[in-house]
Amino acid sequence: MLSYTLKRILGAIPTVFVVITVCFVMLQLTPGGPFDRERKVSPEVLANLQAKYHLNEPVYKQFGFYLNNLLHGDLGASFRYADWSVNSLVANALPYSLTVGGTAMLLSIVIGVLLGITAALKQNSLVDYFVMFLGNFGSAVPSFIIGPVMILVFCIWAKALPFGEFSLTPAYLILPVALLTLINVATLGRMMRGSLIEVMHSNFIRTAKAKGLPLRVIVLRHALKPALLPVVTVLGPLAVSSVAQAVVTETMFAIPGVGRLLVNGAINRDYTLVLGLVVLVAVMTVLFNLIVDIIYATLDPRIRY
Amino acid sequence: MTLLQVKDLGVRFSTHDGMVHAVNGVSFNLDRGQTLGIVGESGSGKSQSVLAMMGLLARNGNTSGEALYQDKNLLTMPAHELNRIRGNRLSMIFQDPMTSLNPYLTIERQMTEVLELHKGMDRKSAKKRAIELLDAVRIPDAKRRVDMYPHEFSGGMRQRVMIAMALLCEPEILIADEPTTALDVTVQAQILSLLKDLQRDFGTAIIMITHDLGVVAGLCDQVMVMYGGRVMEYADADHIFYQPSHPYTIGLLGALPRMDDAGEALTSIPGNPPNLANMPKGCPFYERCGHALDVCADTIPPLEATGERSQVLRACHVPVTQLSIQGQDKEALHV
Repeated sequence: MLSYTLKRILGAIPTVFVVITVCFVMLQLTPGGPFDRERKVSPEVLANLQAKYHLNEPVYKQFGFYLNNLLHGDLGASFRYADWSVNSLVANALPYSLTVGGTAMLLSIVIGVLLGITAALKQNSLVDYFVMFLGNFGSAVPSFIIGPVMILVFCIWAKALPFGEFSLTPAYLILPVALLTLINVATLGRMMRGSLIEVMHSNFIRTAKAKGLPLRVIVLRHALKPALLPVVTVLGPLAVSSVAQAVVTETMFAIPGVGRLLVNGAINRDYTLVLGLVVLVAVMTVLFNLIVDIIYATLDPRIRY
Repeated sequence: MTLLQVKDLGVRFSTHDGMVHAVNGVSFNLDRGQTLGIVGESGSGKSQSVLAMMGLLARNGNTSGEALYQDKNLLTMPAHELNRIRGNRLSMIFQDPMTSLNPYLTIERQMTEVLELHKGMDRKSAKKRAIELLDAVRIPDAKRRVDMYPHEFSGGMRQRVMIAMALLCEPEILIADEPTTALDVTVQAQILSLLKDLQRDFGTAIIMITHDLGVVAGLCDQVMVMYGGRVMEYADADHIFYQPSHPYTIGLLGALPRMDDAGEALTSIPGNPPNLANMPKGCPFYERCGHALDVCADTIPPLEATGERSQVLRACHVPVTQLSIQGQDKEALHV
């Protein structure tokens, strides 16, 4: 298992490299540069700025320069936010995103799996209809509609919660976490329900029933592991999107997180900031998928690495 | 002594196409140590009859009649009560050993849980007993193998594991639903001789469901021939093979290759089994029967003892005497 983990991490390096290269090239191809403003900067200032950030060098040199910094753990200086390195920008934003996205992920795994199991075991019951409704609702109604409605109801009408700014306190966390959880539970609950129903119809469950085992044991010991497999598969991408790409949620609730940083960086042509965040997302994706694969192997004895 | 008494068992499924009567009026008695064979082609209702007794029917299934075990009706028993009997006094082996074992659990876990549940054993002594039974079904190196997962076993081995698992609590009745169908021929023979040995050693009564008359000949005391959800003939195995008294049984035997009949073409029964959702009014075998009379089209023949042989039950309007003449007439049978 350890050698497998190492192999996977080493194997991820080319992936991350390709992602960086493609992203670098695409950023260079976009029209405009980091110092294009509505009010023109004088040519002398522009030349100085470009020299400072090595933008006057040929592209391949810039790329080499960037990679060299990256190897030393330095994501470079932000073009837009003077005096800020990308490292410190990310370090500031990450705790917010990790708290909101991480809490939402944990909650949605627990709630989604429990709801899915209940719905699967009591087909056509109220819980079942609720899970199915939630599944459709969560995938049909976009978060930029649910979010403002939540703010309207809880913050403006009920005046129960503060809004418009953000800090890492429960009062500010409730709504964004609830929104992300709702969207994730829609996916996870529906998947859990479907896969458990399928597993409960398989032959080995019939064998377990024929043994006289009570339903509780059949579900927990015999059906849960196989039913969790498809759910575990989507956890990797879901975690990345909750933590690093919750752009809409972060914007609506004024969370100074990674997602918002990414969008601002892209709008400002802040090359190093965007690249830095892309590296972060790529590394997170690789990491989460690795964790998912390891969970997979512990669930299914037929998978050996 | 009668272990299991099945009276007028019926199984219905409510489907989108209406009510499907999968099993009608099946009755039999099973004695201690006896082997009953239930024979019939796919869709004849043989599997559903036993699944009903095990409480394993699909959600939309319904039963009628009685299956009495120790004077209690298995069909109407609440689940928790049935759970004390199934897997313990009454156990079952399924057709497909490749999918009937849980691939996510070790053999040890799947076997010990039965003993923990029914015998209250602790895990350690349960494991010891599991190894004993794996030895009994001739799994080589059982001590090491018991900790493996099903995918590390071949099909024949898995079926042996299934058998060992079913025998853990020394059940009085073992139901085997086509236990050899998914296995190749040499393994089939091994499994059957294994079942025979185990029956001798444990004194278990067996209900053997099969479409393979060879299996019946080698193993069964009594045979019930089913067609279209009904019993066509119910008699001793010898009677079924040497003096079949129902056109369907005769047809089945004609479709069987024989050692003493080299070179002869096998006869098949023309046509297909009836659609259970849309059963004919009369005898289910009417359309395919070479002996059919007018009365067969309208009235279902009752399952009755024939005149001279009271131990033979048959459901046919055509008198036995007429059948046996044609039955012995090889030319007529092999058209």
